[in-house]
Amino acid sequence: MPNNERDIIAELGVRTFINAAGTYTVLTASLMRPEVVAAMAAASTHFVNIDELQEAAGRRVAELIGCEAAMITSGASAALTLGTAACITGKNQDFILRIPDLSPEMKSEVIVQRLHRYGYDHAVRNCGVRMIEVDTSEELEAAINERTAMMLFFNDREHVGQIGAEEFVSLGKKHGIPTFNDAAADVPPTETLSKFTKMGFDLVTFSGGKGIRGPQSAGLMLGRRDLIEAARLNCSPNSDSIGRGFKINKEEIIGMLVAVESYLNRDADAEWRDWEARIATIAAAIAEVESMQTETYVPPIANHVPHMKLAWRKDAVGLSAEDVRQRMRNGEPSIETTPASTAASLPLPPAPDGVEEMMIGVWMLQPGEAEIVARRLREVFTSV
Amino acid sequence: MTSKRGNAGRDYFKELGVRPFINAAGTFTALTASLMRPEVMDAMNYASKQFVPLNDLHNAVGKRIAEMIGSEAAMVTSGAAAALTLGTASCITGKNPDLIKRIPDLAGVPGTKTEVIIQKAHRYGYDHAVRNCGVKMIEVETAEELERAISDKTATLHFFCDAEPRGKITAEQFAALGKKHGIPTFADAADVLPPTANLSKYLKLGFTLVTFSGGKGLRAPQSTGLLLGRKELIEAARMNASPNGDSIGRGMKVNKEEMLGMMVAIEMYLKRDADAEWKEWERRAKLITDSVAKVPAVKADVHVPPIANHSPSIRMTWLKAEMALTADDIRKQMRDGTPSIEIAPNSSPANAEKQQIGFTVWQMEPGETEIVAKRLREVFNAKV
Repeated sequence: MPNNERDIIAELGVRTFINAAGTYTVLTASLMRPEVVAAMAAASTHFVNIDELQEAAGRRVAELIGCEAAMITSGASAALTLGTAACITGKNQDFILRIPDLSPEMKSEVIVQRLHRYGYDHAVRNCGVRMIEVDTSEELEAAINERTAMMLFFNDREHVGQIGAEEFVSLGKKHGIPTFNDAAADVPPTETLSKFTKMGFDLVTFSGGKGIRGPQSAGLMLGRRDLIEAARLNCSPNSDSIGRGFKINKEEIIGMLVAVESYLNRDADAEWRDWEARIATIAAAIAEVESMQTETYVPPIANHVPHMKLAWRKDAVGLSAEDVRQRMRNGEPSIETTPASTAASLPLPPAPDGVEEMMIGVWMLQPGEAEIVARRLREVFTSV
Repeated sequence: MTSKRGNAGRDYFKELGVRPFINAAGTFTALTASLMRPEVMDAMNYASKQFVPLNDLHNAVGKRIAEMIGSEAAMVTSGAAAALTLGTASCITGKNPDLIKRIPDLAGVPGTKTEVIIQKAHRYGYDHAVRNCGVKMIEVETAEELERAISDKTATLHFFCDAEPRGKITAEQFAALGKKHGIPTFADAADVLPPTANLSKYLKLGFTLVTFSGGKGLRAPQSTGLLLGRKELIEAARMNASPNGDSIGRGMKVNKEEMLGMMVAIEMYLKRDADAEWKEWERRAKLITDSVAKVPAVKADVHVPPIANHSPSIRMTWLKAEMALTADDIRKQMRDGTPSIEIAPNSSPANAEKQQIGFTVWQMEPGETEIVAKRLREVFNAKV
């Protein structure tokens, strides 16, 4: 940072760190690319009409991704609420004013596979709906009735539930019920951005502040034009709406658009090779630690990028995974890593007795930081 | 149009075909409300380069803001509407994790607070944000009715500051009634800055929670707001907000850039020379009224709205019989000129005998008032 800039975070006594964990919300997820912040700064100097901007940016994002319509939301969770609301209210002004206080003539149920239930479905429940849990496609079809607003799919759980994404979409189409896929953390690969709208989901959401490196307070909702239009009616700047608190400003809209452009323009193969090189750098630094085994782990859906899994015998090294993570955090510079279990989208088998495991996420490291992580890990493991 | 500060690169608005304009209207959300000061954007740019623990930063920023304003506690929200939802939620759930997971589905939980009392004249579109918590709004008119309406179901007493003159119960009485019955009182002060003293006024009157919009008078990010008040309730509101996944407020995302931007905006707001600012606004107001001094049909006067948008504002009126132009004609000509100028949206219907338009001067950048005055002379003289 330039010398004349205030170091406000230091003034506040807050620790900054090297992110060797991943796109965790509580760790501020990702850093925006410089061109994203520059675009936000440029946007900050002029007044515009926010609806005109949302309309134009949404159209551009939809063209870039190749879907019917798009809007920028205040995060994927806000998209879940707004998309669900859109399926309930359509463009009916009375319904928009009422929701989440649903009247008998409003749709009030969302069908979800039991194994796709998750904390984030709170955003769906904020619409005042009941979640109807099913396991099989037969149960799903039997659960559909005139109160069904939508069918929710949690993309990261595709391999867990009995109904796959394609079958889910076709069931929705068969019964004329909108399907919504929460793919918040599921780029890369780049193709995922268009995969689910092409597959036929009526709505799809992505987090803005994770793989795409847009503003952390932003998300994308893609899908059917009539539903995106209805979602916008349920959202800020409309005051008497369920989504007035989901405020998105002109800087975030422009920042998100530029982030999507940068994401699509990047060299994904070179990026992947760079991630693997980072893992090699770090692995080489600790190769001689007794009993140390490192391997590359790529989660199948969410956070689908190379992670480095470390495993060692506690009796050989004298450190637990928690000890190592604590020392990395408290060292100079501070480095955040992650427990092996939380980096995986599916629970990994527990470590064998006496074996300690942890995970290093390399994709949020800045240039030059893999070397620092490597050096610090070696120091921690060899200075017991 | 080139950017006024930095970033000589792309003109994003032009690329999108979105028209920037001089804001002679005021802090309207749909018109992107206010421009952040350069220091605010600088702080956001600075924040964008580093990872921090989001909760630690929020704690530190909240503490600093609370000290500056003189509040027990503070948090940054994704707008004043989000603060209304989170503050109301905190009064319902406290720190009870079961209730935090359930809200807004409050049915069938014995002992849960499900009602918010409000003066009938204070009902407004923004109370949708309160209703998002699943509560019933109980309308009262007098202090006696209010006291009778209080029960063990009462979550909060809600007060809309701008409506104070319209209701029978004043802010001071309202806060006192809350204290008498041990019910939290919540003042929505979203748009009541300036004067600076209002930042602490409602807390000093005894309100338990107070919210302000970030993107209006404060010139913080438009996607932010402030929730001020009692420490335990702010803590409970934080538990109901992002980054907690299973919460009513996960969609109301605030990122590290917005937190620091809000903090710096408040610093700037408290440090600014409010008297000089006011004198400058009066000078601008005179420039605008002078611009039509030679148009005999038009009466122009300056007034100061008493509570919300408390700044010198201009009203121009004329009789259709004396001048054929309608308010909509003027608005359209101002908008379609170069540069485009937005005046206040609320005006008389085209067929009304008395035509009226309004301006505010506080959101204009240096030099812009002169442009607006010149355009007004052109627009009015053209038809006289």
